Amino acid sequence: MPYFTCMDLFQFSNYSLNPYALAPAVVGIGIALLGLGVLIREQWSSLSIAFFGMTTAGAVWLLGNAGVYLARDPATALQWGRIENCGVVFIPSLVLLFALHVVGKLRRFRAGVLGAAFLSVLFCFSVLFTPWFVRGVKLFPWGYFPQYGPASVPFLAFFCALLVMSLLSYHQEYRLALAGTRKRRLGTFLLAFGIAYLGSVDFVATFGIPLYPFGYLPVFLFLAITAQAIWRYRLVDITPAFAAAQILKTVSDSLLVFDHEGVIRVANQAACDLFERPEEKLLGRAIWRVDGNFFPRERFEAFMRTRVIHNFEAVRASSLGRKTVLDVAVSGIRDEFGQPAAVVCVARDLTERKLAEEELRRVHDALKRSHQDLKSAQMQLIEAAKMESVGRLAAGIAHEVKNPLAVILQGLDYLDGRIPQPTEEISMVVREGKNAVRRADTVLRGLLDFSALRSLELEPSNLNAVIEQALLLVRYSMEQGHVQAVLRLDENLPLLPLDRNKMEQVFVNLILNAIYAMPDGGMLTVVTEAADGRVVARVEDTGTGIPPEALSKLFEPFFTTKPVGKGTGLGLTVARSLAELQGGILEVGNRPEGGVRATLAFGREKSRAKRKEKNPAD
Amino acid sequence: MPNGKKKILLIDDEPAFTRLLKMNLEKTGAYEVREEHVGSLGLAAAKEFKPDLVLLDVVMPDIDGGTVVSQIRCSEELKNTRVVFLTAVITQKEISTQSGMLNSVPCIAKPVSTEDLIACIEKYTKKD
Repeated sequence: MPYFTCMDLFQFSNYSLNPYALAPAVVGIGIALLGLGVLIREQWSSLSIAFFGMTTAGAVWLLGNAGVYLARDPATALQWGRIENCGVVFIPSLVLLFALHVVGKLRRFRAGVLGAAFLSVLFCFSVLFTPWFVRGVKLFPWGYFPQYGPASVPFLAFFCALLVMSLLSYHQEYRLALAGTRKRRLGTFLLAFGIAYLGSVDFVATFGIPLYPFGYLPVFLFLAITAQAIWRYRLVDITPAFAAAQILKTVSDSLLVFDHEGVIRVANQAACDLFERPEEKLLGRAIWRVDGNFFPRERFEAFMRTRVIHNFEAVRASSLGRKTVLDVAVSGIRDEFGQPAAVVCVARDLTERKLAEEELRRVHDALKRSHQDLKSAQMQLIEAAKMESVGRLAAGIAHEVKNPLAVILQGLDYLDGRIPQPTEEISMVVREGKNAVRRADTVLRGLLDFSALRSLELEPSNLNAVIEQALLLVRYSMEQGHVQAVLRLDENLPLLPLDRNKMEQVFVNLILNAIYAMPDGGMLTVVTEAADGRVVARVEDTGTGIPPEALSKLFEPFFTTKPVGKGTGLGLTVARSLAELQGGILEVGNRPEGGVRATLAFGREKSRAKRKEKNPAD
Repeated sequence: MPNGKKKILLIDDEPAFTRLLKMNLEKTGAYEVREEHVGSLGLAAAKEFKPDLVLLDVVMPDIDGGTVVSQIRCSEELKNTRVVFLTAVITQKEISTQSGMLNSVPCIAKPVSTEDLIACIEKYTKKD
C-alpha cells in the first residue's frame, strides 16, 4: 500500500483491544494537554507556540503509536504507522526551534531552522506518499510496529544531528547563565530533553529488532519535569517588549496613542475605563469625537504644529456625574524618517491627590490660624506679665512715695498755720506746695489702682445700669464742660459677668476722656447693642480727635495727651486692663466724621476686635 | 479727757509724719497727741496713754497694723478704744467703695490734709 488513506481508519472492525496501546495513548494525551496548558498560561507568546508545536508533534507520534498497536490488520496498522511518523519527522526541527528560542538564538539561526523545517516537510511527504520511509509493519509480541525503509537513514542522521545541536545549545547557554531562575530553567530543560531523547529507543524496533519500544516512558518523564519547571519558573523571560505589553495593559494611568490625524490607535484598559467605552469603540475614532473637553481638536492641532511636549490639566465628568481631574502629558513620536508619526497621551487621575491637597490646605490653614491664636495668646501673656510687674512696682513706689508726701502735706499745713499774717506770696507758695502734693497723690492713686487690678468680684450685671451709674458720677464734669449726653441703650442686653465698680471705673474714664476732648462743649453719645452673641458699648464724642501719631500709644502706661498735671497717663491703660479682665476688648479710634469712638466689646469675635484695634481709624 | 482734750495715739514708723501731725493737731488745742514709732510697742503705749482714738499705720517694719488692732481688741482695758487706719497702701477710692472700712476698721489714705484728718477724728470720737 504505497499511499496514505484515511478510509480504513474509521472502521471499528479494524481494531482490537491491546493493553500495550494504553501507555503511549495516555502519555500522548498528556503531552498534548501540557502544550495547550502552556499556550494558555503564557498567553500565546511565540515561545509557548513553539512549545505547543513540539508537544503536538510528540502527541501525534505517541497517539499514532497507540493506533498501530490497536490495529487488527497490517493495513490499518500501516496507516497509523504513517500518521505516527508524520509526528516523528517534525520532532527534531520543532525541538531545535524551541531550543534556539529558549536560548535566544532563533534570529541568528533562522535559516537553519527554516531548512530543518523544510527537510521535515520532505520527510513527512516521504512518510505519507512513498514506501521509502515506512515500508510496512511487522507483528511483534506487543503488536504491529512500522518498519523503516531506506529514506529513514538520512532522517535518523538528521534527527540525531538536530537533537545534539539542541542539547548543545541548552548546555552552552546553561554554562553561561548566571545563577537564578533562568539558569534553573535551562538546567531543567537540559535534563528533560536529555531524558526525552531516550525515546529514540523506539527506532530500534523499526528495523525489525524485537526490542519493546518504551519511548513513551522517557517522554512521560519529560512531561513531568517540564510541567514542573514551567509551573515553577514559567516559560518566558521578562523581556522589555513583554514587560512593555504587560505594563501597558495593567498600568493605572490611561494611555492613548493617536496617529497624526488624532485618531486613536492604541488605548489601554484604564483609558477604556476612563471613557467608559470598550477598546473597539475607542480605536479608529478621533479623540475630540470621543471627548471634546478632554482633548479639543484645537489643542491637538496646536500640538501637531509646535510638537512641544506639554502637560495640561483636564476635567472629565463620567456618565454618573463623577468628576475626574486628570494630569495629561502629551508627547510626539517620529518615524524613522523623522516625520511625526504618532502622539502619546498619558492621563493620570489626580482626583484623590486634589482631594488630599485640599484637605492638606484646610489643615494647614487651621494650623496657621491656631498658630496665630497661640502667638496672640503668648503676646497677651507677655503683656499681662509686663503689666503685672509694672503693677507690683507701682504699688511699691506708691507706698514709699505716699509717706513722704504725707509728711510734706503735714509740713505745709503746719507752716500754713504758724505764719500769723502771711503775705500773698507765702500763701501762694504754700498753696502751690499743697497742689503739687495732691497732683503727685493723684498719679500714685492711679498706680495703686493699676496694681489692684487682679482682684475682681464678678456677678451677672446689666451693662446699661453700669453706664448709667458712671454717667451719674461724672454729671458734674459734664455740666461744667457743657457736654450733652445722648443715650441709645439696647434694653435687651444679656447680663454679663462684671465687677460693677471696676466696669464703672472704665466708663467713667472713657466719659471723662470724651468730656476733656470737647473743651468747648459737645455731644457725648453712649450706645449699647447686642448682636450675634456679642455685646458692644460705644462712647463717642464730637471733639478734636486723637492725633494719628498718638493712636498707637494710647494704651501705653504714662502716655497722655493732656498737659502736665492734668492726666496720669494711666487711665486708658487701667481701663483696658479692667475691660480685658472682665472678658471685654477695648479699642479707641477716631471717627470718620470727627471725634473719638471708644468701643468695648464682649463675647465672640474677639480676634476681629483685636485686629481692628491695630487700625482704629478704620 | 481730764483736760478736755481728746487723746490721740499715733502709731506709725514715719517719725517726720507723726511729729508734724502731732504739731498740727496740738496746735488746734483740742488734742493731746502721743507718737509711737515702733508698731510692736503700740499696745503698751495705748495701755499707758489710754487714747480716745488710735491713728494706726498698716505697713510697718516689725508688725502690721491689723495685728496691732487685734491686740487692742483683745485687751480688756482697750477693747472699746477707737482705731483708724492711716495708710499709704490704699487709695481714697478704694476706701469709698468699701464704705471707708478695711477689715471693719475705718480708713484714711495718706497723704491727708490736717483739715480732713480732724474731720475724721471728730467723726470717730463723737460720743454716741
